[in-house]
Amino acid sequence: MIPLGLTALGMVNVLGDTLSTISRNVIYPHDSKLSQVTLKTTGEKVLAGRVLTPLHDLPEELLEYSCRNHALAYSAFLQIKNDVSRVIEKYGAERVGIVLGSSTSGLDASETAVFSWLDTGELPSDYNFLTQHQMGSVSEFIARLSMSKGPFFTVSTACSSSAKAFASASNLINLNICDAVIVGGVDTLCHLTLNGFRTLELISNGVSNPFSLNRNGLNIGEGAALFVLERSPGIINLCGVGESCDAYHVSAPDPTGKGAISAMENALESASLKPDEIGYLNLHGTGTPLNDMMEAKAVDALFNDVPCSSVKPLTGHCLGAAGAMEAGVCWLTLNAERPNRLMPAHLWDGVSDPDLPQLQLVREGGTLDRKSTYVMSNSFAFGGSNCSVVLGRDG
Amino acid sequence: MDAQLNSKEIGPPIRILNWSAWAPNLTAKAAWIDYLKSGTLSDVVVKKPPCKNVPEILRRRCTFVTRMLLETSLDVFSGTGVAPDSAQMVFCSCHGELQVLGSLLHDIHSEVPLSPTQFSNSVHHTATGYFDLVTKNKQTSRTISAGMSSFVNGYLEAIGLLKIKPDRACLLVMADETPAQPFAQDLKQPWNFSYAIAWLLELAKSNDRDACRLTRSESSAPCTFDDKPPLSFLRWFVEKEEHCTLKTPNWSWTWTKNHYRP
Repeated sequence: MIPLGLTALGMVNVLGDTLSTISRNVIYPHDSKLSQVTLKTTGEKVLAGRVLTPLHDLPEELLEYSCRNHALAYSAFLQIKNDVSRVIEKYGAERVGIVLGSSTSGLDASETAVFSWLDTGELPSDYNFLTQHQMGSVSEFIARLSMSKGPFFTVSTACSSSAKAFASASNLINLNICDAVIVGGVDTLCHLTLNGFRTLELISNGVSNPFSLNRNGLNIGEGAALFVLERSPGIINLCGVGESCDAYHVSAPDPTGKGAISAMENALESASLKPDEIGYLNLHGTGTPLNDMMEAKAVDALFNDVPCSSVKPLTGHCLGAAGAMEAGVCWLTLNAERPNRLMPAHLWDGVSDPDLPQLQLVREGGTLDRKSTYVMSNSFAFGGSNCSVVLGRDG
Repeated sequence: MDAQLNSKEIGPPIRILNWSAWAPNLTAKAAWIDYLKSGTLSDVVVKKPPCKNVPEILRRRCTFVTRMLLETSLDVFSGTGVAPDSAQMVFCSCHGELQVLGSLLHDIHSEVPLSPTQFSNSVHHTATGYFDLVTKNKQTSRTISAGMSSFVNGYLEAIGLLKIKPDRACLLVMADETPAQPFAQDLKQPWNFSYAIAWLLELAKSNDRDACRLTRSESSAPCTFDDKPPLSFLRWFVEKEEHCTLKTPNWSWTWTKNHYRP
C-alpha cells in the first residue's frame, strides 16, 4: 500500500490522558496502575485497567450520546481536535471520514439500563440505545463532534477491531472517497467482558505476566486511541496492514500460530518489507497460556530476534481499542527523536517458559535500532480474526 | 440534474454472481422474489434456518444470526464456480448478537456464572468465525456496523477488497434479528424483521452488460424504494430496475447496471 500519514494521535487509558504521561509510563513502567474491581457473578476481586482521570461531559448538543465509552472517545478526540479542524479545512468536511473499532461500544450504558429495567420495569430516562450502545453509535458521535461529512462506521471484530479499522480507513482513501479519516478504537470496562473472560478462565489472579512460565491470564482494560490518517504521507505513516482468519476455533487461537504468521506476512507484503526491516514488534501478548504459546511460535518462525514487548500488563487488554492503543504506543516510539527512540518495556517476572521459543523481550530503556524505521503491532481476536499493522517513520 | 452533474463514480464496476436470502417467513428464493414484487409474506414461520450443510457439533452452538448467515452464505456459492474457502468476506449488522447479549445481562443481573459458549457467541462478528470454521476460509474478513448505513458502508468495504485483490470474489452479507427487550422498546424504527441476505460479488469486466456501477452524490434525491437499504438493493437487483438509490447521512448512493448507461 502507499504509505498514509498518521499525523496526529490522541489517547487515554489507565496510564494517563496525555501522550507524554502514557509514553513515560510504557517506557519506564515502575508500578502497575491497575486497580481492583469486583466481579458481579462470582464476587471475586480482579485487577483491571480502569481510567481514573476524570472524563469530560459531552457537549450539550450531543448529550444523547452520553456514556462512559463515548466519553473516553471524546477525551481522545479533544487531543486531536486542532488536527481534525486542519484536515477538514484542508480537504473539505465531505472528504473526512470516521472508522472506529470497538467490541462493545456503549454497553456500559445498556448494562445500567437493563439492570434498572429488571429491577423496576423502567428504563432510565436518559438511556438511548441507538445513540449510546448501538455498535455504530460511537462513530456517529465522533462524526457529529468533528462535523465531518464523509462515511462513518464501526468495525467490530472483538480484540482485532481497531487494528482492522486501519484497513477499512485505508480503503476509504484508496477508493478516493476520503482524503483523511479519523481512525482508532474505544472500549470500556463493563460487566460483560469482566465476567465473560472470567467464565473462560482467562482472567489473571494478579498483573498479567505475558510469556512467563507463571502466566495465568489477562487483565481487562479500557481506553481510546484516535489518529488522523491522511492521504499525504507524514513523518510517521501507516505502511501496511495484514489480515487473516484462523478457521480453527470459535474462541481459541490456532496453537500452531499459522493464522498469526499469515497476518504478519500479509502486513509485511502490504508494506513491501522484509521481516528484518521491522525494528520493534508490539505483541498481542495477553498473558493467557494459549495466546502466548501461539504468538511466540509465530514470531519465532518469522523474525530473527526482533525486539518485542506487550504493554497489556500496563494498560490491561483494551479489547476492541487494543489495536489502536498499541499502534499508538508504536507511534510514540517513532515520534521520539534519535537517540531517544525508546521502546515500550515488557513488564514481567523474567521467568522464561521453556516450552516457548525465547523472544527478545524489551527491557526498560531499550532503544530502537539506529537503522530501524519500521515497527509492527499484532492483534488477535475471537473467531480467529488476526490483524497486524506496520507503522514507519520517514527518517 | 444537479445530482447527475455532481455524481462521482466510486470504485470499480462489480458483477453480482448470486444472492441468497432467509427470513423466518421467507425461506426460499421464490418466496423472496414474490415478497419483493408483491410484499406477500408466507404464513408459515420457520423458527430457525436448518443449516443442513453445517456439522451438527457446530450447528447446535450457533446463534440465530449465525444460522441465518450460514444458511445464506453457504447457499450463495451454489453454481457460481467460486469455492467458499476462497472468497473474502464483509459482514454488516446493526445489532450483531444483541439477543445473546440480552440473555447474558440477565445472568449477570442474577449474579450467576456465565456460559462460556454464550459469552464466546456474544461478539458482533460471531457469525463470521463460524463461517470460517465451516468452510475453512482463511481470507480477509471484515465486520462493520453503522445503523441504517451499515449496508452501504459494507458494500464500500467489499469493493475496496475487490480492488486490492481483483482475483478473489467477495461475500457480502447483511444480517440482523429482532432486538431483545428492553432494547427493542427504545428503537424508533420498526425492527420487526429478522433476515439475512448474502451476495457474492466479483470484479466486472468494463464491457460486462450486467456490471453494477456505483456513484455518489450530495443530492437530496429520494431513495428508490421505501425499505431497509439491503432489501431495497435486493429488490432493485431482482426486479431489474434501471437504478437504485440509497441514502446515508450527507450522501446519496446510486447503483446502475452497465446496459442502462448511455
